[in-house]
Amino acid sequence: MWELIKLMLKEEVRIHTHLFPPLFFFLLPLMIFIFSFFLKLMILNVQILTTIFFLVVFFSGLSSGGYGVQAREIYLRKFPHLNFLLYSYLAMPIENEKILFSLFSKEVIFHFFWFLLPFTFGIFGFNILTLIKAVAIFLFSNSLSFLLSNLYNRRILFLISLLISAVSIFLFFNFMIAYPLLTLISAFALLYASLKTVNFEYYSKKIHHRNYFDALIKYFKSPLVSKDLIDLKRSYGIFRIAFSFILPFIVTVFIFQIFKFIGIISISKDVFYSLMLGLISVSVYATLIEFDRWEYYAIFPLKKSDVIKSKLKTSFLISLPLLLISISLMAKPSIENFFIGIISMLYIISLLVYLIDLEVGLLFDTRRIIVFSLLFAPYFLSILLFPNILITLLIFFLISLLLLKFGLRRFD
Amino acid sequence: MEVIKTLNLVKKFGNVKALNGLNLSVEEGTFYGLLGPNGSGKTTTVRILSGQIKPTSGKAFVLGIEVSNYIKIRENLGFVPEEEYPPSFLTPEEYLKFVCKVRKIENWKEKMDFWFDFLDFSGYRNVLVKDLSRGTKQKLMLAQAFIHEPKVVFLDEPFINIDPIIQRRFKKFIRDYVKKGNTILFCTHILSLAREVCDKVGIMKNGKIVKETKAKDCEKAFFKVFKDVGAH
Repeated sequence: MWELIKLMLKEEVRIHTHLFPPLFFFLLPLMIFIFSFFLKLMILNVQILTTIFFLVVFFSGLSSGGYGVQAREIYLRKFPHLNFLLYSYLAMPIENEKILFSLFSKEVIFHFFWFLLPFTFGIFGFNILTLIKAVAIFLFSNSLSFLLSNLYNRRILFLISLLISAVSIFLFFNFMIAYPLLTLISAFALLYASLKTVNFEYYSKKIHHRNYFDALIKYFKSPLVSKDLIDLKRSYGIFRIAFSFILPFIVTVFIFQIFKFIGIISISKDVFYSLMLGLISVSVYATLIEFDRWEYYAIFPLKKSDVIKSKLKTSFLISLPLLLISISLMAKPSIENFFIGIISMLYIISLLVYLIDLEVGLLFDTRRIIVFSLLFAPYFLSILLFPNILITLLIFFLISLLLLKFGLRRFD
Repeated sequence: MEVIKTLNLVKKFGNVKALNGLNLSVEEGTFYGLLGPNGSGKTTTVRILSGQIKPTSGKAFVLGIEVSNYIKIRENLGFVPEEEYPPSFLTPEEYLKFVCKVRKIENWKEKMDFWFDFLDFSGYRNVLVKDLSRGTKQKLMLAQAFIHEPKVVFLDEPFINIDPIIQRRFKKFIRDYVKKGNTILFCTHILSLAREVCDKVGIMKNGKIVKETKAKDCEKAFFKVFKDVGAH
């Protein structure tokens, strides 16, 4: 099995170095180290810093575990001509459990070197105990995510399990940090349950499907938008969007409390939430481009900009109502807050259009992350610190239009 | 009239030279076979000609239009790529309607019905693409390539996974299609297929055409070019 893990690790590295320049990929741990070091300088309260640290570790485990199994869909869409070790289970004389265990081990080893080690050392220096605690929490959330994604794939007990997990984590988070050994034991119990519930049979229960295209094209006029909406509905993308909207918002509420507590934020809660809601809405656009392939369209008389424009239309079609409903549910909804939400979304999407074309994976390229951060930081800080928000919004609205104009031209 | 023309076409992928000065000329109304072993540059050639990738150097024209103006070319081009299937979560019916809308085809209903019947996959009209067999997906790709009756068609290994009955029916169809004055560029490494359907073939080796001949002589010519392959 060690051979399989080694091959999976090689495959992981090759996928990343195929997507962006190898040097930038290998520099990623250094970047994480620098980022965490600056985080330590920014947040002087050790207790808050520690909580943030373990929360980030927890969420990264959660996202990497979920990605492991759910990624099949994305991988098959993005690289249909490539075969991955995980998905070649039918061709190999290896039990499914062993393949899944190897995948789990690969994720842990990969994240240990590329994320946990630099992130821990950047904040706490050479602190082995904290590293062990971080590994235990990462293993726990990673196994939990594996288990939940298996249950989701089987469509059984998912909501109940999700609820139980959320409540347990809320109640026992501090306990998990204090007792790493017990966390490790729980992680292995969860892993065992994941291995027993994994389902490698992917088939549709429903064979014949109603034609939605006719109705949608009549209404939206665009074949690309209609195609995207059908795709989102049938591939459960809508659930994914709902999930990626709710979860980050919970984190946002938490971050706001921390910012307020340490006094680095002076704006109102509604302004901050509107800003964050706008940023979170970008996940709709990210999902749309992640679920698609330019190659589908490259045989038709379509430019990349045509496809990007249709993704923009679809994402605004979905995110605007979500954004408007969320903001109107605030204690004091105002026009200003609506604009903050909408312009935040527009600005980030236009940055994505400019930087990553239709390849969401490119965002993990260190060079692009740096450019993205450099362009994002002025906006974020202007909203938080500049007293006249309307002028800030107007300036960034114009910048967004320029970025979109150049971004759409750039990849044709 | 030369429908396809390349002049000293070069394409590099990093250090690998996929095309190394390709000169190709295909006349209107020709069924031209591009033959060669794996990695000889056939797929790269059609990808450049369809505007999917840019050449490193050299020039390429389809219907007299330079490939940089690929939108104009694709309006009159049908293409079955070697490794591409339609989006997973559409049904064949929805996908063909999508194609008709993108290509602004008027009498789309008749055309769709024709292709479902002709390639014998009407029973799968409402099944998601991801649940179709590879052969049925390939039928769908063939239908999308011809539904707008293009002047030029690129077929990259189009018969993979297609059952023999449909293969025979489709071979006759494409032969007749060329007789009407249309042009087909057919990439394959199956020599017997090329002999059966093509008028003329070009044999590719290391990114360029090293021999052009009549299709009936293609096997002899091919093994003459690659006489050392498999000798050891």
